Amino acid sequence: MHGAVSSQEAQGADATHAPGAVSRDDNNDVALALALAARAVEYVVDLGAGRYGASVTYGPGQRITGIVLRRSAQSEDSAESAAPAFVAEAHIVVAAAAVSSVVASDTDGSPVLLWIANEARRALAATLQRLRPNEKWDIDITIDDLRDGDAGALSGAQ
Amino acid sequence: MARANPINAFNRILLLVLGALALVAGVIALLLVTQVIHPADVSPGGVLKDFWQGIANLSDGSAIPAVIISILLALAGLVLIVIELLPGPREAPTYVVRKDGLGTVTVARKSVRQVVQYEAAQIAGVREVRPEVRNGADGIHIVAHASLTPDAVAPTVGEQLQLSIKEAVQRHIGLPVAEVQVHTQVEALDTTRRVR
Repeated sequence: MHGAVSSQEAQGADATHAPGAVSRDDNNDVALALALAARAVEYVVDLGAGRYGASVTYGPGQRITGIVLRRSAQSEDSAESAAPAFVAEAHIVVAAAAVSSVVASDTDGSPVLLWIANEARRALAATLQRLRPNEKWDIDITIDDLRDGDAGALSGAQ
Repeated sequence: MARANPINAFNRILLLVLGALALVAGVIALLLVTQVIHPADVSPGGVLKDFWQGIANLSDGSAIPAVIISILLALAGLVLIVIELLPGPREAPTYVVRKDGLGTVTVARKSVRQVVQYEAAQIAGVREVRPEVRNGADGIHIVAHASLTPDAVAPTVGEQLQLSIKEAVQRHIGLPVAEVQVHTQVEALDTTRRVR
């Protein structure tokens, strides 16, 4: 049995979520797919490891930076069936060019970084829907960093 | 956004009281065991006299362990007091921008600073900006230390910086900005100063 285990920050904006790492055989594949999906989002140039470098999923011989899969604290604490059972965290690095006024006009009036985070959330939700269709997931996005990237990187596909 | 938790405040007061009690008890026990004071000195109206007498009697046979335990108790109380009087944990390094049924979107403080720096770099006359970002109940508070070119008109550039920074953070990130303070100087910014 080789289950992937996610590490995560003990501190943070949402410390109420207990760090109940998910450990399943295909977690490594799911984390990898989520990382690829996040990177494919426009203006996402990379994934970050979080402030303490702990937002990483470790699998057999592999580590996926910027993605953490964990159990929702709500699902552990209550028997409420509507509560999401799992949480996927993605720490994205956004191209600095995204904050230029030209890009801001393409976001239907919403703040550009929030728009990018929502796009990432949508991409991750679609991936989880495909890979884990019968599970309920919360998706937490953290904008870890803004980084200068070349224009070619703005497609996000790496 | 930042709000004091009454349970935390109660816990801190409780631990402070416990620390003070441990410190006082440890010091009294030490003084009793070493016979510097007598049980009657610390028993006004005879309160706890038997208890203190029992401790004072330890000086006959097991004085050394009693002294060690007294010192450890006093030190534990002191440590507890010092820990509780230290400033609380630092502000969370991220800001929650949106929380809904799908999850949470947060922005690292570093990213807010980068947006400020990016925006400031667009303004003529600004050489460098080093922002400090703090959370407040009414929104984000930003203090921007700016180095200007010698030909820049500080009041004009400063005002422009204030407006641009506030507008940029709200427009790009969606965080409410309560205040932007701009400190300008012509000299280069101190590179040794650490900004959290």
